[in-house]
Amino acid sequence: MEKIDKSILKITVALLLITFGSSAFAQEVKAPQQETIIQDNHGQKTILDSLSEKVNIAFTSMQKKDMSSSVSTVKGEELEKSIHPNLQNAFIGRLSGLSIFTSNYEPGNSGYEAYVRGLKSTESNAPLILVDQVERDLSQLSANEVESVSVLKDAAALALYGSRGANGVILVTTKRGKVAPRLVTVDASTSLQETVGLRKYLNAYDFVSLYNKAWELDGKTSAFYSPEVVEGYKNTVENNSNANPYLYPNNNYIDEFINKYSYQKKVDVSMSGGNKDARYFALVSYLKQDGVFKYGDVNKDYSSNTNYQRFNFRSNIDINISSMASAFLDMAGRIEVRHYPGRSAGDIFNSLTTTPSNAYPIFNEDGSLGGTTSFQNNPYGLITQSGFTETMRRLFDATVGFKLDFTQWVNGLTFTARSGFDFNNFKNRGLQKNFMVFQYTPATESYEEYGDKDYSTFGSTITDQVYYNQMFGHAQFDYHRVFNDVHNITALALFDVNKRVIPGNIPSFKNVTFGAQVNYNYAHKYFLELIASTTANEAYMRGSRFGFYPAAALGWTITEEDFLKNNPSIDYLKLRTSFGLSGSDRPYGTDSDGRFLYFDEWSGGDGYSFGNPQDYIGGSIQSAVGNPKLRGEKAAKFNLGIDGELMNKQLYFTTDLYYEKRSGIWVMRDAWVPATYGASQPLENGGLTESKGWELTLGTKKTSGNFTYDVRLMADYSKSKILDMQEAPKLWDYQYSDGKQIREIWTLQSQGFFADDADIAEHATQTFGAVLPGDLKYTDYNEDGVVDENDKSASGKNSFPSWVFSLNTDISYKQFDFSMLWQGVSDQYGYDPMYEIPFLNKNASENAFDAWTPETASTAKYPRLTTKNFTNNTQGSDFWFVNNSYVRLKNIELGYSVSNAKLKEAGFESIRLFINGYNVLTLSHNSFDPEYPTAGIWQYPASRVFSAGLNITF
Amino acid sequence: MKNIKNISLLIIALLLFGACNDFLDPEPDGRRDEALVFSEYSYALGFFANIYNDLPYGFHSVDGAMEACMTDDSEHSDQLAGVQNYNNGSWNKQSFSDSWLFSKYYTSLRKLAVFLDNVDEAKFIDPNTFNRSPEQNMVYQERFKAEAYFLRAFFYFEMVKRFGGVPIVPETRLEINDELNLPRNSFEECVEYIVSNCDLAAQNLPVKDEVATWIGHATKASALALKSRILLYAASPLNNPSNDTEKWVRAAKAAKAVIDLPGYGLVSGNEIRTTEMYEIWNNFYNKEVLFAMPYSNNNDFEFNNFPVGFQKGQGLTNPTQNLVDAFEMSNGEIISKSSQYDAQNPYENRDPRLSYFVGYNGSIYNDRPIETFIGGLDGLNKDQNSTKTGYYLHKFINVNANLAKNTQSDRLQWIHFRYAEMLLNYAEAMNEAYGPANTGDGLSMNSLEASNKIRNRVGMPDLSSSLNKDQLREKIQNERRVELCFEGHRAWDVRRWKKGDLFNIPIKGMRITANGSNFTYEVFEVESRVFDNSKMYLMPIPQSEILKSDALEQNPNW
Repeated sequence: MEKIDKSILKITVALLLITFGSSAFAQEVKAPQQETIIQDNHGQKTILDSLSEKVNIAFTSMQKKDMSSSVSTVKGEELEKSIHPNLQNAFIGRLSGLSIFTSNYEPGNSGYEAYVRGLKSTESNAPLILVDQVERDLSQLSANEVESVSVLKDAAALALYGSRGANGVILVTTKRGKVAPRLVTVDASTSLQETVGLRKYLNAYDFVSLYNKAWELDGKTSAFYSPEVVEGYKNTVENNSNANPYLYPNNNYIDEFINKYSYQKKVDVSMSGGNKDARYFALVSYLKQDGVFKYGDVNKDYSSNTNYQRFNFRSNIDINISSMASAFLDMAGRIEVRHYPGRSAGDIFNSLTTTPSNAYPIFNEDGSLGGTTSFQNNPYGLITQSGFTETMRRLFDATVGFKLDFTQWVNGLTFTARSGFDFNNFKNRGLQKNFMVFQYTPATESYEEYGDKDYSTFGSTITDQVYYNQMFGHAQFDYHRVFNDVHNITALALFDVNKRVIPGNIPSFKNVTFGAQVNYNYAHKYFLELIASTTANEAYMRGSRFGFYPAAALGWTITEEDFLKNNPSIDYLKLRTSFGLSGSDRPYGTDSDGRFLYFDEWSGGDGYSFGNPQDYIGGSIQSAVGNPKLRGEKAAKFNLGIDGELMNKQLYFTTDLYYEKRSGIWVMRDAWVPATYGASQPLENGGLTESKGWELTLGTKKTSGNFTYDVRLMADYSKSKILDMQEAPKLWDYQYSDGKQIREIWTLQSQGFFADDADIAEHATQTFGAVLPGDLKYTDYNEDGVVDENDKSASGKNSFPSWVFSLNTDISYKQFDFSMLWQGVSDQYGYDPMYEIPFLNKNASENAFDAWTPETASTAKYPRLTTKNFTNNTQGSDFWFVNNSYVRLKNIELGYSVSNAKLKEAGFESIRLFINGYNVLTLSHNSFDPEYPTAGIWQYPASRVFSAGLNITF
Repeated sequence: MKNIKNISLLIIALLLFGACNDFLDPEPDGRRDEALVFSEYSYALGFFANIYNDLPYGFHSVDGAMEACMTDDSEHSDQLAGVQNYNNGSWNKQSFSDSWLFSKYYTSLRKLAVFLDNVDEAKFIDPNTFNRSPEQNMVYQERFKAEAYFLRAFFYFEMVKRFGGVPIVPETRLEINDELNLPRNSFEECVEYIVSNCDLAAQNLPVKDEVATWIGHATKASALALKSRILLYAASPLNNPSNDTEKWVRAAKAAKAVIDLPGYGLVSGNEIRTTEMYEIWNNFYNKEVLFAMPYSNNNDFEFNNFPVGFQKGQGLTNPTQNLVDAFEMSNGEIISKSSQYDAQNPYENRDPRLSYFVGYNGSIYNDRPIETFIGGLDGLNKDQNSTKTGYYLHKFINVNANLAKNTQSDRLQWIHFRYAEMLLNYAEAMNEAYGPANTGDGLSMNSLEASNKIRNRVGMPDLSSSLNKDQLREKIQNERRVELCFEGHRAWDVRRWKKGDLFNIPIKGMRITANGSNFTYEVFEVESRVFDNSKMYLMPIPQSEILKSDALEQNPNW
């Protein structure tokens, strides 16, 4: 920890020197007070004149009203309302066409999935994520350093990204200084995280009683737990005076080891300003998020609770060198310290939720840890006696660039170039320990011991490694000119290159882009955009690398026509359409090995021993046949949109219809090459899918006196369809995935429970173990007399939601401001994450009360209790389907601002106090977290967060 | 002027693209390619070793079970194992345990094609040796080529015995644009192809390897043994419905060719009696071994098959009463016709091989008599894994293994071909070709003599010289069942004899009840078995392959 503190300190000092140095420089050149600053108070300005607002798009920015492509944006100020440390969670419900689903709640773990316009491919759907036009992780940025986020959605917006663009692009642009006096902002908040979504498990008495029932239903005659033992557990559960909790333990592991509340705090200080010669933005941010585990502090030398600390800094500086040259230097860095128990959160939660409540006393009478031969994962040991792991990740990004204005030679022509590197390494520190557990045997009055005898430290590690380094370069000509007041021409041509170096014997990741774009509009009335790029990456063979990605967009602002120009109720109406090509050149994702598949693969394999004495010769094989012609996926996209403002701009809307055909999806020719060929076939560009959807943003806003409101509804609908996957011939026609949705759930159809032996005898033979009354009965879908894997069919239901929607409300009245974001999805299905069968050497949740017994046959909700390893009832079937639609109060915030003369005298611009809630309320059909169903069951739990804080500006 | 501008722009663009291509090419990462594999001796040797590894491993070849467990010789105690489908008749063209072998062996054949493509240029010795005497490398090249022909024959044999005729693929590797929709060749064509490959191999292979490092490679004996077996199969009723005697003569000659090879013979009677025949499988490449696959020096096979009363013993392979009854009395009488046989003392005065091959109540494992009686440590129905028949496997097993400590392990070999089989092949073919006591065509030993060699070395008396051809056939078939039990023959022997009904007979076990120190023996039915004579003599071609290629015909009635 000492070392970390030192490096934090060093970087802080360096940063402060840089920022104050540059700010001093900017101040020195006395800024003439030329513009009044309009203080964006939490996004309201962005709403009021959004049409002339500059929107960041591919390699440039443009006024919304001049664009004919489909892009949704949000301002950084709006994102600050989300108190969650992971930036992407702030996007949820705020960007039309973008869906974000959390896939990990552990502090510091930013697991999430992002989708732009739903599912498009059967392979990766991950959008390209760029921070200041360079591929970087966005999740650990502070919202305070973000100027805006754009989501690029249609062919015209994506064409310049070529083969990287087909899955959409999320573009994060960081803040820069403006011509304005120095402004310092301090944002501080402290939060209470309340653990939610935890299930209830049977107490020991209920456990043994129901276990006996299950034992009986398995056909056993004598009870597993004798009446005295059952009575013993009853005494413990009821806390009777004769209870013996050591002999008859009763544990509620969740209550015992999980804190209901934990803390998070965050402080951001940013500073910006400048004059026409120099401008700067700087930020330092600190965040600490605590974990949920109890007893994290019992070790003197270290904590074994989870916690996450993050330290961000950024300094973006622009300097004018001469009338035709300017330069910029952007630096940003982060230190992320993830401190976790020696055993993973998954291990700990598995122990908490799958250990029977009567398995052992957590502590034996002599104070030692309890455990048995089957249950050695005593959570107390896992949390406190397994050591810890700590990863400190350090990132430093620097970009330097210049801009030349050639106007004196060619009117409207500028040239920009930039280059930079990202340096990204980590240091691990840790202590790995084992622990032993002990079981008391009354008969011998002795303790049986289990676990590794080597109780002490077996590994203490410190490593320092490069995670990756990245270099990039960019050169771009921009041209903008207006001819005869009506012919507006904007054009650009660019070259972009990027190389990411991974340590080890791994070829680096590289991208090259050549692109050009011409935008023309006639009097802001008729618009034409022509865009083309050719791009390549390192993954494919020469000759198959470069692809050409053209696109075009057309726009017509009807309200500029004479017949609508001064219409009292229609303020703005624009029709736009776009079409073109883009690609997805890393179908297996950015971290995996879906690269160099044009090579035949030769590797090690099984060997053989010859000789006497035997001498093993390691094998060597051809493990894959290459395909020199393999390319990425290609997408043809079409978009049709309307933007409008009505009723004196009180009503506004944007709606888009889109259609995409994705071709060249990777499929295996194996499927139709006979086995006599003798080898696995390589991947080929054979699959074809389509996706279509509809997006709507509809809002109303008004300002009258002290009162302002803005209410927006966003709704996205998307649907995908597999057209052709070139599948191998199937036994049954319904087994082809052609015509089905991407990620459609394939499953058995259940018909409830078997009523009795006669019912079983009449029904088709089920092949997942011998069934008894109370077990699940499945439809013999192909009517071949046998229920097996072949009876799984497409359910028509999808694990990806068809609808994603949100309702966003901002209200301010005098000094008060209030905002609220509801967000949800619908038409989403999944399997119940708890579709385990109770008692399979495991704990049981309270669902076991509703399991089938002969007595409860008519009301039972779950299949027969059993103690056997029995897979019939755990087959994927629609019995375990749950409707995973939900509505969530994602964000609610109430603020009070003070800004008056007295404060100004004291040097303060404004002070704002706020209270905030995150994920406050979830309405769903289920008790688990809808975004990440296994959270709190096998993984780190979800939380809702209540915060209070203040923003000070001076 | 404009042209010059355009051209220079084009040149710049081309230069840029060229530079980009150089930039985009992956950095070297130690990737191997075909040329490297065959020029680097360790990779080249490894490529060949890997092909050997594709040979069947009989200690657990059917989804972890021994092949004997798909016959009337044995039951597999894991009732959920894939092998049970063969026994209860529920296997089908969509799924059965051996279905994967069809594509597996074609993969192996492709490896051979790739190997033979490269072998003439390949290096198999380290660079130092190569520089000193490059001609040594040629020794390897020629030897490996001949072994490759043997392996090719073996892979086809493994398919042919299951599926009948299969497509014979070109000897150079198939390219993806070649005609891949290949029809099946006839059984006879496959047999001739296998025989020709065996002959080709035998020409260039040494009779026997004496150099320690070469032991385990295929020899002339291996190739001729395979030829003997395929010709025996080809002469058998399943494949020789007209009972063409010439086929039997050819089979007899092929067997005799192996029997006459110098350096091979039966391990002596004295030797095997002291080691209960364990010597044959433990002593690597003893003189009885014609071709064997080495097994690592560990207790894995013992973990699988030790009686369940021993810690970690899983007791998987359970010999049936049907097999036990096939062992004669020590005087050569069959038990049903012997006055010596005592149903309440059933293991007394039996063919000594019974106690070598089958573990029954009282057999010694790891210094302990096993208890298969009801309630015994290893008893019938004691738990999920315990014996289903009242017997455990004894053949191949290192009874000294200590499973609890995982010590005392031995090196085993899975014998594909041994001398005893050749004698039995010969005896069977001679009887069919010439009758029990006759010789001909220069074949000097008659059928009875060959049979008696097998019997005499374990101390069993000669067969009666008054047996007629049909009677001797029964005796030879029984002798083959007993001598070669659990060695992967029964499933195919019963099929080629067209005696599928044997697999329709319920399997039986021995229920032993202890009354104090006395035992009561009672034979009981373990399970009924299903064999559909209309189709199960051959396995179906996996249906997924039939769907892929319309030239491929399915076997009848599947």
